[in-house]
Amino acid sequence: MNSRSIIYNIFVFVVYIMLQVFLFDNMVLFGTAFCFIYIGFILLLPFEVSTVLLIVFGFVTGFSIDIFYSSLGVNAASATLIAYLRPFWISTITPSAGYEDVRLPTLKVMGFGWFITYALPLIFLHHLSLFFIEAGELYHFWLIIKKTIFSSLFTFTMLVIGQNLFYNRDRLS
Amino acid sequence: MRRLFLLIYQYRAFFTFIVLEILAFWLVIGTSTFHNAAFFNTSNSVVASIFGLRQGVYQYFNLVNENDNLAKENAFLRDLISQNQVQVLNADSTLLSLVDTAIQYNYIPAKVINNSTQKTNNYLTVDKGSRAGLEPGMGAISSFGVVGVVKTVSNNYATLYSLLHGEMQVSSLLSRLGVFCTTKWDGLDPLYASLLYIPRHVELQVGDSVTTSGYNAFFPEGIPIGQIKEFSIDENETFYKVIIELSTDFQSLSHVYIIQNFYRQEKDSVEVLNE
Repeated sequence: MNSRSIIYNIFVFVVYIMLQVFLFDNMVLFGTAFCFIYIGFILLLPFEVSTVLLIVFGFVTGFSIDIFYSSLGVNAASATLIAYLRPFWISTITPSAGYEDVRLPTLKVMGFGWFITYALPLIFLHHLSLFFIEAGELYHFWLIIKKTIFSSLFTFTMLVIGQNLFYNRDRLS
Repeated sequence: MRRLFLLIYQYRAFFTFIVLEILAFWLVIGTSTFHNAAFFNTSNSVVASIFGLRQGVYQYFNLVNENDNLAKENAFLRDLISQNQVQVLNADSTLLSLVDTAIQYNYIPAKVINNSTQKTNNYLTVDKGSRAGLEPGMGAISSFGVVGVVKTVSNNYATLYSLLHGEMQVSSLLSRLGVFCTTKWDGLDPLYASLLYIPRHVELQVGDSVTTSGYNAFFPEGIPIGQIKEFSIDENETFYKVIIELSTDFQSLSHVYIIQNFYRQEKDSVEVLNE
């Protein structure tokens, strides 16, 4: 990463946090579907970012959200988890020859089929761990599963829409 | 030693992951003093002023509702005034107790700048802090009923436990029957809560009103909490299962009153002596 892309990524980080806090905090569909758009920041970082850095980013992002949500540690734990799993998941779904000349795991670069296999399981895992840690018990098991499924779909849809509207990271960085 | 460092370096990602997860779970469990430090909280002035900005936009969408609520509250207060005038004329002993409660409690108005209702543990942020006299442990009410308890304060902002918080329990009273019980939110619907510890022999009715009991120092006696919506009891249970409809609409909450109890310290210290 050069200095330009660092500044650019800090800007993107702030935009994600603000989107989450200003817009999606109050946007809950049918009382079950939540949108955690902020994990888009972790999911859409370039391939080249090292795992350690990715995990640190994951923690920082989750922790920032936690401060706004008064849920200290909950988002941080889930975001760290998917940041850690992201490289493994990418290498699992990548053909052994690897990709040539691609830098970003985004919809436009990789295509819809790849993006859905890449993002949806990670989003699902993030939401599942998030809701379980938040509840701190298994009492409402099926409710949490329901919330996870609908929220995953909601977050995924929003990420797809967001990328079609705004994402021009291939030009920069 | 070198080999150890090599090992750590080789698995650095894994170790970073473990360390950060442990840190995160340590924060979740909340054994740390972090939890009550105002800095890592919505009462942090930077976070709270961002919420303030957001509220500045949102409040316009809510004005009609807000006016309605104020008008209702005004009507209620006018009612009270006329009742009090009657009492002044009769000059009976209840007047003394009214004067007494008037001195015991002070109400600090505050604007809600952040509020959640859909999570398992919900919190509110208000735009008054220690400068306005708020302290952790003070109760908060709306025009219609109980809202929550102050958790942390910074100079100009405070974070409150909402009644819609998994660990909030409010000592309550069924005013028609004079039966004491406990109100607790069950974590699902922001409109309803449960009543605990109502024994089998009590004859409940749908619509019975539930108020605060005044047994804890957070709330004065008689602040509305809700109304019984439905109840049931199993053959071999000791206590009723009761669902109440909360009188505060948490989803459109915009102003609250923080209750300053001048006798709280005194009450607490007497109760500590008893233990």
